[in-house]
Amino acid sequence: MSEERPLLRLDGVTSGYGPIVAVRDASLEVRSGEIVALLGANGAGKSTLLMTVAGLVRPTAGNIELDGSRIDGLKPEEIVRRGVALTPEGRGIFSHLTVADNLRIGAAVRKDRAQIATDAEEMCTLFPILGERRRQLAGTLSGGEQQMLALARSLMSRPRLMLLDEPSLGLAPRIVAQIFEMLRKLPERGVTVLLVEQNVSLALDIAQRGYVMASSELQLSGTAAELRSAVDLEQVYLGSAGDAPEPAATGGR
Amino acid sequence: MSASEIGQQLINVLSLGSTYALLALGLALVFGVMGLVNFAYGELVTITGYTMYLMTINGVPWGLAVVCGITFATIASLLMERLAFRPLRNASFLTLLFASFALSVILQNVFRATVSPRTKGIRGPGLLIESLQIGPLTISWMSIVTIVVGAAALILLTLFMRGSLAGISMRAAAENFSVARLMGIKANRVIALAFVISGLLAGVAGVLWVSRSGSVSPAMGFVPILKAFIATVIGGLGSLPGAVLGGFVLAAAEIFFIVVLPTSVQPFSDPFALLLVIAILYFKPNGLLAPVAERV
Repeated sequence: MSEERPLLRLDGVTSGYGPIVAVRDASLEVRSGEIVALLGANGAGKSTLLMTVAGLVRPTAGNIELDGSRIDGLKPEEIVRRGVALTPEGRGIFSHLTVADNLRIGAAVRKDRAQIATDAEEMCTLFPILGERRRQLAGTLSGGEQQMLALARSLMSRPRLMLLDEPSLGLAPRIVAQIFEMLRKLPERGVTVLLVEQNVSLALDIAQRGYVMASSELQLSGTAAELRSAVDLEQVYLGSAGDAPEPAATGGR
Repeated sequence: MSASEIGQQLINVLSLGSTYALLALGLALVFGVMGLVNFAYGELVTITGYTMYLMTINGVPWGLAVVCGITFATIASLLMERLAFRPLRNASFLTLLFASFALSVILQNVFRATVSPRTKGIRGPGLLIESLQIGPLTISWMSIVTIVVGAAALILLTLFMRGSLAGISMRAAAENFSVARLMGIKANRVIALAFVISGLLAGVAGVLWVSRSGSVSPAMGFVPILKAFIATVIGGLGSLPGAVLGGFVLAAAEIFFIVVLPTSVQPFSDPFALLLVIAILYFKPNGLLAPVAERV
């Protein structure tokens, strides 16, 4: 482990929904400039862990630090102002708003109007399809286009840390490759990434390090190469049915 | 029925429909961001009415009374959010619904106790009861004012909801509240804003309502909330364009039955209109413009 202070540090974090514990005693670190993968089966608690960092789910124990200062217990709207952007599972785009308005909402935490417009232009260069569909309702986009919009929308807040929940879910391989190529380059833009992904090999292709989660606990961690060669990875990955459920709805108003 | 009669009734539909549309929009806005059907919403109309009544009997000019009536409804709406609904923020739909019923009953009794349990007359400007003759059509100034005010409010609201960041945020929050918060939209602020606009709409509609009826009474909020609720259900609960459409459809149905039913059955025109509503919901159970049920 490096000496410098990690960008994100979880220490003994437990969280869940009412009586249901979905994340138990999780400790992890993400250093600035890294892409870190969080792997595990459905229901292992990965999404809940991301939602806990983003403030949608409140931890019942443990500390979460961003760049040395505590963020656990803050509201989601405050955490995004500190530079953490969660791109939720299922994308969560606003289908009744236009593509342009989705991008504008992504920059809701910023005040620099001129720069926001420039950034929106840049997103349309990064994802040309968004430029073409700018005036369309986001609900009319295909799944892959919606995922691109969700990523672009997150980038509009100029995050230091992006939390990505299953960006490949339900997308054609060609689109997935395109999206992961873009994700790989995020550190060049100064964006650190914590990536939840079902597709292990895809995630380890772009990540430097990873953690494996099963039955609500972080079971294993290591470099991408170590994790790839870990014999029991597939077992841990596949063999954890019947864990605590992860409700898709996140309530919290 | 002659062409001029049809024209006459169309103006009635537009006038009644724009009042219903304003009322329905106020209800739909709050439902959108908070999942609350605010049955105390009708009391905002009452508050507008009583403000105007108390001011005009004390010699305050009509225009000022109108402004104060709308302002008080807006403040009351904001207070409802702070005092009654914020503590119940994550409560179930039914809890919120019953809380709003309770608030409605409490407010009605406050009006009874503090002003009067009886209906009081309120006199608007004389102009409103006069009419304008355009060709074969006789149009009351009340209808003209209602249509103009309704149209202006709808246009302003549309511009606000589509053009401003606050408006777009509110639409985003109505579609997916959690994700809106992830974008940094402040939950308290967007909900408070929805209540403010809801109060403004209730105030404007209240002025029109009171000017037309010429009276105020403690339970006068019942009919406006009922019409607003039916209109939002017709249009699709949670859809703003649906609320407007629902308002006009309901007005058209009511006026249609007033026109076609024989005089002896006319007192029952409302139930006939509701039958039509049931027929609409039979074919479109989620309303005419139901928003996609999408809560990620």
